[in-house]
This record gives sequence, C-alpha cells and structure tokens, in this order.
Amino acid sequence: MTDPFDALRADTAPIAPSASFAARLRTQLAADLADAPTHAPTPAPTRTEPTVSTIVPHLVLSNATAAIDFYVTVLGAVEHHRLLDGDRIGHAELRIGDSALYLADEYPEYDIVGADTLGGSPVALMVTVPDVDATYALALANGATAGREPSDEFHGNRNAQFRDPWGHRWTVTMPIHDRYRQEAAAAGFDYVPGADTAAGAEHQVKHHDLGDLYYFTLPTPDLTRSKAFYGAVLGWQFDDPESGHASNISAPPGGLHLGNTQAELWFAVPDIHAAVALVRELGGTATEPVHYESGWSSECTDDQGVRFCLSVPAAQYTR
Amino acid sequence: MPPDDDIPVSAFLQLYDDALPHVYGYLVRRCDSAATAEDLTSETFVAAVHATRRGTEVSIPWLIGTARHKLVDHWRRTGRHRDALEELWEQHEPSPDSGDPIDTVHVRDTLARLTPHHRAALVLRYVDGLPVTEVATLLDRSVHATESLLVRARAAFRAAAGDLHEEGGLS
Repeated sequence: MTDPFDALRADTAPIAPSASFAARLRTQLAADLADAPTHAPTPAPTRTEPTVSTIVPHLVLSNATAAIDFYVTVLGAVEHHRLLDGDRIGHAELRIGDSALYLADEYPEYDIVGADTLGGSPVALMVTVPDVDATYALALANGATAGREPSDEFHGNRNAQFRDPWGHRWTVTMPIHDRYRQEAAAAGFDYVPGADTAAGAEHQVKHHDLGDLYYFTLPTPDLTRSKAFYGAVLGWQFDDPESGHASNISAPPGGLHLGNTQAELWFAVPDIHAAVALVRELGGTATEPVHYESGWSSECTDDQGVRFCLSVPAAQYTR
Repeated sequence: MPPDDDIPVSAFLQLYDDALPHVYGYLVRRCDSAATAEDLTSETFVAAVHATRRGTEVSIPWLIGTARHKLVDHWRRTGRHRDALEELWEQHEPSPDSGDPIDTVHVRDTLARLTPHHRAALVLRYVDGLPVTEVATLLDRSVHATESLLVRARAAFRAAAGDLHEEGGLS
C-alpha cells in the first residue's frame, strides 16, 4: 500500500554551499582542532560573497608571506590567491569578512616599501571582529606590538589597537553589546539589553525614509500593565519609569485602507506562531496567523482589549 | 584513539571537504533558509571536532545523524512557545488522510508554512523516511503522541498546500 506522503522523500544528492562559507568554516575548524591559543576568533561564517568595495587597502610588506599567515591566524582572513614573482609576492588577495585586502612584498627598486622600512604608518585599518579581546590577545601572541588595550568607548564600541610585525596599525572593533551578549550566552542566559546600557542609545539611532511610521501612541487604561505586556511580547524597553515612551522601536512602512476608520499598527516579530501563542498566554487574543505576499500577519488585542497587529515582514520588504 | 591525543588535523579537514556537501545538502533541503542551513552546518562540524577530541570516529553517517539532531533542536527552539497550544490540539483528531496525491513541487514552501512541530514530524517521517519509533525518540514523544502528531501534521500540510495553490503559488 502506498502512502502519498512518501512522495516527500528527499533527494540525497550532495549540495555544495557557497565557496566563501566553506572556506570560512574550514578555517574555523582548523583553528578549533589546533591547540590554544591558536584558536582564531574568526568572524562567524556568513553567506556574504566577498565583493571588492570602492576602496580596497593595498598593503606593502617586508615579508608578505609571513604577513598572510598572520592575517589568516589573527584576523580570520581567507587567502583568495597569490601571484609569485621569483621569491617575492607580486600581488596577493585576502578576504576578511565581506572585504578584500590586497598586499605585496616590497619593491624598493620602484620606491615601494613597507611600513617598517619607512619607520611607521600613519594609517590604521579598522576591522570588525566578533571578540576584540580574543583578537587582540591572539595578535600579541603572534608577534604584534601592543597599542591600545581593549576598552569600551563612548561611541558604543569596544576597540583595541596593535601594530602588526610589519609595522601596519590595526584597530579591531565590535559593538559593546556583542560582548555582553557573548558573556551571557556562555553562562547560559538570554541577554536582554536594558535601557541603562549603551543599547538604549543605540536603539534611538534609526534609519527613516520619508513615509515610514516614525512614532505612534496606543491608548491604555493602565500604563504599568501595558509596559509589562508589550515588554514581554515585543521586547520593548521603557527608559523612564514614569513615561510609556519605548526606546527600541524600528520603523515599518504603512498603507491606506478605504473604509477603515481605525488606526492599525503592525509590529514586527521573528516568529508569528510563537508570538501569537505568547499573546494568548498573557491574556490577549490573536487571530490565526495568515500568510500574505507582504509576510505573516495576525490581528491581536492585548490583555486589556487594545487592538494591535503582529507581522513577520516578507524578505522583499525588509531593509 | 585515546582522548587528548593530537588530532590528525589533515585527516579531519579531508573528511570536512568530502562531507560538507552531504551535510549542507541534507540541511538546506530541510531548512527554510540557506542562512539557517549554514548555521546548522557549522554547529554540526563544531560538534564533530569535539567528538573527535573525545575519541569518537566521525563519519558521514555520524555527521548526518548529528545534523538531524541539530535540526530537531532548531525546530524545538523556534517552537517552544507553542507547547501549550499543541496540548489543546491533542484533544481532537482530524479525519484520516484522503490518500490523494500531494504536490511535490512546492514541498519546501509548504513545509515552511507549518508550525515547527508539524514540520519536524513530516520531515523526519517522510522527507528523511524514518520509522515512527525513531521520529518519536528524536522528538522526545511517545509513539502514540507521535502518530497523532503526524495525523495533524499531514492535515496541516494539505491545508497549507491548498492555501498556496489558491494564492497562485509562490513567486
């Protein structure tokens, strides 16, 4: 007897992932396999195909071969190719994250020399890394000269600076938030940023296009209950206990609907089914999620009967 | 190989090169996005490094089995808020499946519309072709609960396939 659902049985032919993902994961695993402290804090494997940006740094190095090893180990670079000119590297291309880095050995006969030969460099190259402290320690362990120790900066990033063994200056950076998130995750907690951290300020900075919903108000008979409800369902943070101003709201687009006299507000959630279940659990109501071309949608009321809607925006409408 | 010995890095990387398209291929067919498939692929190979350290012999079947567990964990994470709702649905059971042929063209899009629990049940039972007992073990449910979950998941799949058809398919 045949079961129609047996038609779902998947093909088992292998599918290669993108070359950049494969290379990154390979580099990470090779580092994981080797003993500490060569555990390179490589950027998480991403799907981003490396592209050549408008500006590409082109470094001249007194020992390009050794420098490539350093950048691979310390910065998680992936070597794309190198062109040998006798025993010199005439040109090499590395990828770090989504960026390209070109480099070459010195050609003193053309007056092309590296930073150490010149006695220093006025340029610092800035790299976003997943863990500034780990990258900094790894750099020093691999022969870099200490610059600025890792520290949290007023602009919301944690930065450190070092000089590589060939005289080039590097600034490594990450959002301060990521560090707290990593520490919380390592201890088995979900990290929810509070209004008193740099996150509060971070959330205030938004990109708005003309016509985006920028602000809104919801009527409420009880501010404290509303804050508890929307704090739980949407992760809103209220930075002032006396006000209902939420500090971490982003901006969805909107539309006009003829014959509808009531404002309708859609708030984005990552998982419509989970959010709907949570709304119901907290005493609100929610219609069964419906999938439209614009994404998932559910019409809700909160635990006091105030209307609002939830949405998982479709990919084509998400910036 | 006893634990704590040096791991033969080149042997592991050779296995990685050989196994990557199998592991990624397994996951990408069952995930709703390539990004999720890449994340789970990373998790699977990181687990393989740890297993190799402990002296486990890692092979492609071992990696696929681990990838399947990672997938189930992923669904469990995305579906955790639905447990209470699931309990309610346990109360009634839809009528048996019609037996009509199903649309095999939009399988992934249809599966993507289901709840994580329904998706998990259908993928493990039909896409992977595992016996119900094994599905039950993976989902940490009794065989009876798994069977009734499968009945509801099949009904949900047919309903979602119908919706998809009415909307004129996906772009």
